[in-house]
Amino acid sequence: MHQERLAFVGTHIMPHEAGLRQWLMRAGLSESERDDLVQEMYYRLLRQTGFRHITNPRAYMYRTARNILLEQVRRNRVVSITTVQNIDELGMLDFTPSPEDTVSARRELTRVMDFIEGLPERCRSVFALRRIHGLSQAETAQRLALSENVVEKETARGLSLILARIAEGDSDALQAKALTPLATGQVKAGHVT
Amino acid sequence: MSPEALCIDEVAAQWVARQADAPLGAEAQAAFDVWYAADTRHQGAYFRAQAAWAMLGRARVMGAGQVVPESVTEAAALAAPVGQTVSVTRRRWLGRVAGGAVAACAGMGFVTHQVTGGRVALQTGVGELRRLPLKDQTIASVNTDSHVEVALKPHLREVKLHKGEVWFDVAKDPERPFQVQADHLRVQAVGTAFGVRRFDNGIEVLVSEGTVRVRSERLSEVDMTLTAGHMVFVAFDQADARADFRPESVDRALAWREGQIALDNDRLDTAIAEFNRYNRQKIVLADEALAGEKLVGWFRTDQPEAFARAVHEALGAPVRVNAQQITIGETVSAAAG
Repeated sequence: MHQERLAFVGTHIMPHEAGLRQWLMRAGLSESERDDLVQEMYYRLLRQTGFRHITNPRAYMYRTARNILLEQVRRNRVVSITTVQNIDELGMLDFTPSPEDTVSARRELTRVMDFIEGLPERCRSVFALRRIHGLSQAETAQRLALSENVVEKETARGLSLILARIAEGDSDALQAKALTPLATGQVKAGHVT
Repeated sequence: MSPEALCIDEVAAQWVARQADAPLGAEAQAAFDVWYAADTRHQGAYFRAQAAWAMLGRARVMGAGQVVPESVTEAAALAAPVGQTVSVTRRRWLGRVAGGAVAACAGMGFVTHQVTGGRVALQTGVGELRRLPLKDQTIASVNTDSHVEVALKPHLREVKLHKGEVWFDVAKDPERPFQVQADHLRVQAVGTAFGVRRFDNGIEVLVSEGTVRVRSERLSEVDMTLTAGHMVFVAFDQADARADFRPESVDRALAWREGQIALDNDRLDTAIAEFNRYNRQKIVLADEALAGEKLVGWFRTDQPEAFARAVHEALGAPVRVNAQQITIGETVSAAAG
């Protein structure tokens, strides 16, 4: 079940993370406040027993962020005072899904390939073998003539870089690429993997 | 990101990387537990990193994923199919040597099946995919289990589709229209790219470039013009047919040209039927309750097992494989994972 939840987050939450961060920045949160808030938001998702009730993930995500902000303001912790006036606005955003929001599997797969493609060379090779070709760490190490330790380090480094890209977002590049029909990818169940 | 949080995210990524293959050792596990319990932000960051790692795994199981490349450069190249593969832009497709079945079979058809008088007949077996370059520079890609006859006449390029499916990249020649015949139905193009698949009760026409005209020798009502991105099914015994503008579906339906099957929210039973077109080792769905499960992904037509494995991962359905068939959904054994 944990896999299902991870898949839900990867598909329905992560694509909107950069947008939320941008909004939080405009709302006056500092960088570290934004990071804290995003981590807290994921923590709350983690604590959810299931995601089936979430029909509009993006709206859900913003709502969660808003709740966290409100709580923090109440506890007078972390959040700067300029934020307060913006919190209500966060509650009023229009979350009617746009065509771009509808999760197209192809777009998602393109996105994944794009993340891997964007890695520095050695990292990319490690990710290609491990995540695309499904090789184990040991097999990857052997194939690339690296030690397992290096493979593990490259894996951590690549994952960090990709997480940073998820935080930054680069929708333009992705959307342009999303038009290419032959993204390759893995199967997922139509509802929630 | 701020230095501190970058640190949390980085640490989270490290833990995920360390646990990707095997559980942590006792000592490391204890260290992890301490870190994890220390702060809800750690837990959130760890969850986020796990989700990202899982998301990256979606790139697996597609065609390329099953053939592990021999060299690093190849690995890198295969890591980037997005940039290379692109679209139905047929020229790009033709320009590179398409993977798998196409590459294996390219060029074979013409020589071995050349018949006298400029007439070429080609029959493909189950799972076979052939590229047939014609003398007029047209390229015909003949899909699995198909039978076509091509005759390049002075004023007409004539293709009889007896069975199966063909896609054409037609060389421009206004003097000599290019016509596909399936029973009394005629699909005509001047210079364009399109596919025709023959079913028992009619044909499906997919246009990926240019314009194509569909008519019937028998039913005068059947006369329609399709432009790129359109697809239509025309029954042999009915006059009414409506073309849909679905460029994505057209692209997808033509994935077979690269030896691929593309699923985009297709039902499991439909997907299985599609794989069974290409392979002698048939996939059997033992659990009807799974038939309606929707699936997404790209696969190699000749790797039903990879597909079954993916189904196993996605739906948690048991999969059993032997030389003759692959059984999905039988609860006796849950092997094949």
